Amino acid sequence: MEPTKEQLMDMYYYMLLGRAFEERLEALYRQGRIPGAIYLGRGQEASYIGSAYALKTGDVIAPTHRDMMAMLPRGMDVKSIMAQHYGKVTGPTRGRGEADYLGDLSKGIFTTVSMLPDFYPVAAGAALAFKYRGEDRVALAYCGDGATSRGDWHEALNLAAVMNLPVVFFVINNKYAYSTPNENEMKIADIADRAAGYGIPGRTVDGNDVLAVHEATLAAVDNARTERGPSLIEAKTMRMRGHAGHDPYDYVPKASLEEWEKKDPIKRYEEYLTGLDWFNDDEREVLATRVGNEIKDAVDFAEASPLPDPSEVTTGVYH
Amino acid sequence: MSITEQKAAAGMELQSQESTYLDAINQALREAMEEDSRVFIIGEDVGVYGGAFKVTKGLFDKFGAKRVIDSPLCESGFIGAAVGAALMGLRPVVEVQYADFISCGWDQIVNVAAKIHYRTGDPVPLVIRAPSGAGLRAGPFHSQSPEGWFAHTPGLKVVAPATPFDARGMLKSAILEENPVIFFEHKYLYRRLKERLPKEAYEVPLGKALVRREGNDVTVISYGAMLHKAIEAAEGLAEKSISVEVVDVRTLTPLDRETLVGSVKKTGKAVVVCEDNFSYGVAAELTATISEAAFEYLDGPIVRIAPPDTPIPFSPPLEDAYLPQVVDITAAIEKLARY
Amino acid sequence: MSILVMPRLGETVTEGTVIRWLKREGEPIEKDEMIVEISTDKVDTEIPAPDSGIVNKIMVPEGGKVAVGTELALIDGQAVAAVAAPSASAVPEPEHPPDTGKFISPIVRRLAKEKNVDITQISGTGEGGRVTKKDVLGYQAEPAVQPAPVAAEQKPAGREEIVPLGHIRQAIAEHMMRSLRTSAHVTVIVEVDMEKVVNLRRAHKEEFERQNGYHLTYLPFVCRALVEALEEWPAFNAVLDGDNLILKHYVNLGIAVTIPDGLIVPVIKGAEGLNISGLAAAIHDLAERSRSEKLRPDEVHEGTFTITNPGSFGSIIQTPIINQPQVAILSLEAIVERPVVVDSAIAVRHMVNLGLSYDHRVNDGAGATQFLTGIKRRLESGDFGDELLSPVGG
Repeated sequence: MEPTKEQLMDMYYYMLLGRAFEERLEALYRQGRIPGAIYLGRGQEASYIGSAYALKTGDVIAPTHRDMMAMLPRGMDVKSIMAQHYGKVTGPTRGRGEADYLGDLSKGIFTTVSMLPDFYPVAAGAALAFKYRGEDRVALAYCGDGATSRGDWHEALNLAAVMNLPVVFFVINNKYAYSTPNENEMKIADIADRAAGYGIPGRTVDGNDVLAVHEATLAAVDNARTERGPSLIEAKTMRMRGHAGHDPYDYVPKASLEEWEKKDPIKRYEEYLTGLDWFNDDEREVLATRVGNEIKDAVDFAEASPLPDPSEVTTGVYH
Repeated sequence: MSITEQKAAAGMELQSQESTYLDAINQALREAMEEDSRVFIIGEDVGVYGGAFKVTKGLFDKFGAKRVIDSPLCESGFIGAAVGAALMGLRPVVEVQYADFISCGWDQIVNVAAKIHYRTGDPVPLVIRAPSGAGLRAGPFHSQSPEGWFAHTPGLKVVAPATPFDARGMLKSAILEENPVIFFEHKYLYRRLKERLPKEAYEVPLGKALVRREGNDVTVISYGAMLHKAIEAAEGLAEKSISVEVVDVRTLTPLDRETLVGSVKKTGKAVVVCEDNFSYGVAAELTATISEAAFEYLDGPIVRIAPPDTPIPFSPPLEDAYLPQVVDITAAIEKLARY
Repeated sequence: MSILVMPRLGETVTEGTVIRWLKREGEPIEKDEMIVEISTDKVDTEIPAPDSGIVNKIMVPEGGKVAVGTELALIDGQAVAAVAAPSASAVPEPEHPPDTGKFISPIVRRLAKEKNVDITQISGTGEGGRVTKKDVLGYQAEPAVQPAPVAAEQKPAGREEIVPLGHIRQAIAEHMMRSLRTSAHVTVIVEVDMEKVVNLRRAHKEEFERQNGYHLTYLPFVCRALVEALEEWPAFNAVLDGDNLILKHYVNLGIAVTIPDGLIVPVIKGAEGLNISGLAAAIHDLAERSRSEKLRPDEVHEGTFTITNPGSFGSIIQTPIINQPQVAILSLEAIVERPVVVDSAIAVRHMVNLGLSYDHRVNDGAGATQFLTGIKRRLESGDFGDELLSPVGG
């Protein structure tokens, strides 16, 4: 089904919001105003928004440390994400989790861990629960190319395949696992080919084309909802920043980055939208202003929020 | 049954048949599954086959493949899946075929399950059953007692029952818990212990140690299979007029420090007997607890008895030399009593 | 230290109330001396102490109602003169013990200081002549207090017969009469050709039972059709509140379950989110726990519509009474083979009557019949195949 005008604009809004948030975060990091590390997904906006926007209320996602943008279409508030970066009590983990590991089960977002892809089996388990209770819900787990080398990745795909679970495994292949390029990670060209080893569908998609990602995810989600089981999507894209805020990113040739800059997913999407008769610069201005205000409010909110009380350091280890 | 158990059982009618430690676990699983449709079992060979030790025997026939799930061989995969199901409101009971294999699912336990509640406040009602312990000529990979690894990890509860009564009652409590529980069932005890259990359902609370035998001269603290050796040693020493109190730790995390320390304050002397190996283990924690909380009541050094720091050997004479024996425990108590 | 617990005085007793403590904290007590008076549903009685000693702590105040097995009091069987224990973190003052040439243990040093005893005057019986704790205590010539043996007080199992109180019956009577006084009941009945559903169930029932451990019944199919109809005709999934009709855009489906004392209606919350397999699981679970009295209180409230299944006992027509404050109730009757006319010929088909009692204050005959025939059409389509899940484990 073709996305409606409203859906097209929604996806555009979330891509702008994600990028603006990260740009602000990068500035705050360099200014020394936030205590932790940052892991930016610049250049991967289309992969995040196109996939997460294909889900419904009740579905769950398992993002990684780089995947904040995937939370936006699920209703995660940028104020609370910002407060998490500041280590404030108003962040979803109340200052306990590292900045980039956050979520909210009430919005269908797992609060994941640094060990990747530990939440691939967990997402399969969520899908098991949906199937166990006969619920019309789907789980979607994210990871990068690096995590596909670990055992949990393979255990999760096999388990989900054997049990025919309603889960979508979404790999964002951004060419590098920290500094290690694809060719040192695997002998195959397409991670999607690994699906065949588990007897499930695998598909490679242009990760910089939000509509292509959206369409591919809708198909995989539909597959899960109609009890045809799990599937694997590989979105090919490029990380346009270092692994973390401190990383100079000098292991990537400059020419390669310049090449990918031309394929910037937001610019590409704007070109597409501009070709539609109803889209104009006014719409773009309205969204840009809205996004700018939201980011400013998020920073104000985070800075005004209290830090956690040290006396609470030992509370809440157990339920 | 101990004094306290008899009290707990007061008014409860007993089953006509005796139950083994293994039967007791099976009964707890069956009861929990009857009472709550959210409870399900997942593990290797737990379904049609009934489990490597037959702990889940009969449950597949009663509850079906949906609730007694045979998983492919992937500890990390199925423990992780159990965490996901628990977060979505189910109450999984995982069987790890041997406690030795639990390290294959290590990260899902210590980094995923254990660290969720502290960060998000979401409950993780998950039980991981793990048959542990040596004495069965099973060698380095089917005999380990890895409870110390998990007792050291905040966010997990770790239990190790020593009797059929406790195994059934504590497994029920574990399944009702909102926290991840690692349930170490000592496989040496599976078919060696028998007792008549209550007909009706009951729970034994987690986090409560139990004085199994009262005495005045020396306190012996133990759990699991070693507890029974400690009791045997205590009974032998009664003939020599040495009065030994035996405390069953039962739950390693959260540790019932009050009961352990209370007993040592009474006797002034303590021997700790563990199957976990000597250094940096459970015995070290118990010893430190006593020395901190009961220093001014001590009338002698705290003695640790635990296997040496080696892998667990297979050949009978080697394994017998490895495991603390009744004579070792007896000699240590006697020496301390004389001190 | 021995523990006094709330005893189980009778099989069905689950809690008791502390009426009066006969001893106070700090008072001495002999074994079997009465310590507390308690009251339960069945009996008021005094309870004897399980042990001799000092009443160390009373844990439940007079008037307190607690579960069987709850700790009521601690009795200190040691009954030694109370020695204030230093807190664990209080580090003792360093001091120089008299030089006896022997090791002085922490407790010997502490006792000697407290009792103002010169350790050098005591002849030690420990290893190498060390002065032991017993030696210091003995030097004080205090009789060593032996703890009294802790008696295992075991109550015999109760022999009372369980006498039903009939309160469920009373509640049903009140509820039914109130419903008849409240709603303008009208019952409409349609006949449904279940042939396709019968075939569908037949095709799946063995595999379903193998996977789930219980039978696949017709009820989940009817519930699924009902839930879809309720979404289309929300005026039947509603509550009348004065002059307002409150429409519920979710379905909490009550299932009437027969239990030994009468009838109970557990509720499947959010039934609109469940497929056939999910509904079957929920129905099985709620029915099982209704019969074993393991329902949680919140599981019998907040229903938006109720279905009753008298057909399982063979009934073919009943006019059910609405479960207040809902506005309609559906009865599923027995599925029976009947000759019917199909394409101008007589055929034998599996037929069932569905009865809908509705509140005429809220809905009229036309709407009720449309709603009911909506369910009929859905069932006759037999189009449920996709919803029968493949097994989780296989």
